Amino acid sequence: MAGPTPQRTTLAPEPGSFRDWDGRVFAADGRVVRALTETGLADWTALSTSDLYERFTGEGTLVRTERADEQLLEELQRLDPEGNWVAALSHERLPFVSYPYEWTFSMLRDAALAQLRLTTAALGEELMLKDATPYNIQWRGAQPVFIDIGSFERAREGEPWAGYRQFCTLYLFPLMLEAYRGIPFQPWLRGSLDGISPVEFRALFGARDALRRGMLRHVFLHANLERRYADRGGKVRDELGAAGFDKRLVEASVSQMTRLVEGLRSPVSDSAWRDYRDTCTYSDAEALAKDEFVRRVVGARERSLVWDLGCNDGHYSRIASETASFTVAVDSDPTVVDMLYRSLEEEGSRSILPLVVDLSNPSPALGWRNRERRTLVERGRPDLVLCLALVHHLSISGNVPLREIVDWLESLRAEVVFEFVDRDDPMVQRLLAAKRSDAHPDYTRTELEEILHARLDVVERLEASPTRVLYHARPR
Amino acid sequence: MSNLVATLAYIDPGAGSMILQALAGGIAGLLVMGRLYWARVKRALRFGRTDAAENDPRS
Repeated sequence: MAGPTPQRTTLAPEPGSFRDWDGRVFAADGRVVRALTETGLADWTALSTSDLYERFTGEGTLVRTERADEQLLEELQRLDPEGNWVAALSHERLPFVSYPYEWTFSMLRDAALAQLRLTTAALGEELMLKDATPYNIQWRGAQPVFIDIGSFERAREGEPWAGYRQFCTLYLFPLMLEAYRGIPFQPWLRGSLDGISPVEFRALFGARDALRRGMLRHVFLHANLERRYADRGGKVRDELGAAGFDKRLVEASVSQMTRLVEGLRSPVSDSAWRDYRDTCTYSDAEALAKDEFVRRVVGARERSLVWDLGCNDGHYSRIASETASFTVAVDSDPTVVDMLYRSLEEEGSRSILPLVVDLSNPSPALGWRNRERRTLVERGRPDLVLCLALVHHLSISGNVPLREIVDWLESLRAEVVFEFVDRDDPMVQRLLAAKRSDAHPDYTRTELEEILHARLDVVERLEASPTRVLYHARPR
Repeated sequence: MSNLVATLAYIDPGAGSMILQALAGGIAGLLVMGRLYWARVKRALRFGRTDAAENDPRS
């Protein structure tokens, strides 16, 4: 018989947490813990006794953390005997990990403002943040949460804002790219985990752009100085200290940056999706039947994680979140997802996380050994997947065969609510109009049902309209 | 005057990026910039040394 302590899954080092020598994160299902060195412990002590810690954990912007017992520390020391760990912390676990290249403009902006608010508060209490990366922010629904307790350190006299450059490359420039050029930042951030360098970013703009807010200093001058001062980091730091650089200058930098970021706006792009719900072919009664179907399936069991794929305005995510613990709402259109985020943010939602993901090319594994940033599926399997008004887009616009789509759903080992829209539906007709008449021969209801029945247990079926049918299926 | 505990952060703050921050501080920042460049001028006149000889071993 097992002893009184329940058997727990062994902790493993978080593959994305090795750059900072003063701490390391370990995780197992449901647990996130952090090992600290002597220095890391002193920094944690300074943070945990500060007012800002109380204030920001209270409002939820800073991850809730506790000093863990000796037993956990010993476990970490056994697990990682080469680390100089002298203390352990235990963190609140957030429902689903996401990355900045999956966020919308407003999300990155709110994350940037959270980062700046924490930096300002830290400066007021002789603390500082050693970096400024959006990878340290996760979401509790529509609320940004700073998760890297190890970023806080005791401030040092005469030190500049160490995270300024990183703030520019990973927050400010991606936001400016969208605000000033109308180019979505997500593909660039996904391609470059360090963000956009000042020199690269400068190359996108002409002299006239120097008049736009923040451009002259943070982009033009920044790129110029970066070229001129390459490889002179340590020396410049000493020189600045000797020239009397002090905390007030850091405070001024941070507060000016805050005003700049607050003023950035994304030009709202026209999106064919935006009025989707108005052009939808369902009549009201049919829409209600579909809502009821989804509500019943979600509510039939306890759901800890629901994925709403092709979420559009989040209508079904909201229905799911009536009973599910957490819903990840995914769509490939950044504009649609941004509107969903804004409305969730206004409502103060804590149970729906909107993300920009193109399912025909979802987030890959990235970083050192391809382990630092994980694929979507590796970050938490759903127990229910909603695919409503999605499959015709994947199949016809994305050219992914039905067989492939259902194979993928089967591989998730989750229950599925799946909507099929017939060829004669006006929506599908519109998508097919651009194709040859014999294109997508597999796209028929008969074919789909054959594929579904071969892979999943279809437990319920609803003719939602003359051209649309819903299936509720379970994994075998 | 070197009260600075110069430890390297785990990320490189970037030399150019550090200098830029002095620009945020209005008059105080200008003073820092002035002293920074004046110190360089003085050094150049006094020693005529090359940059490489002055370089901090860490940088």
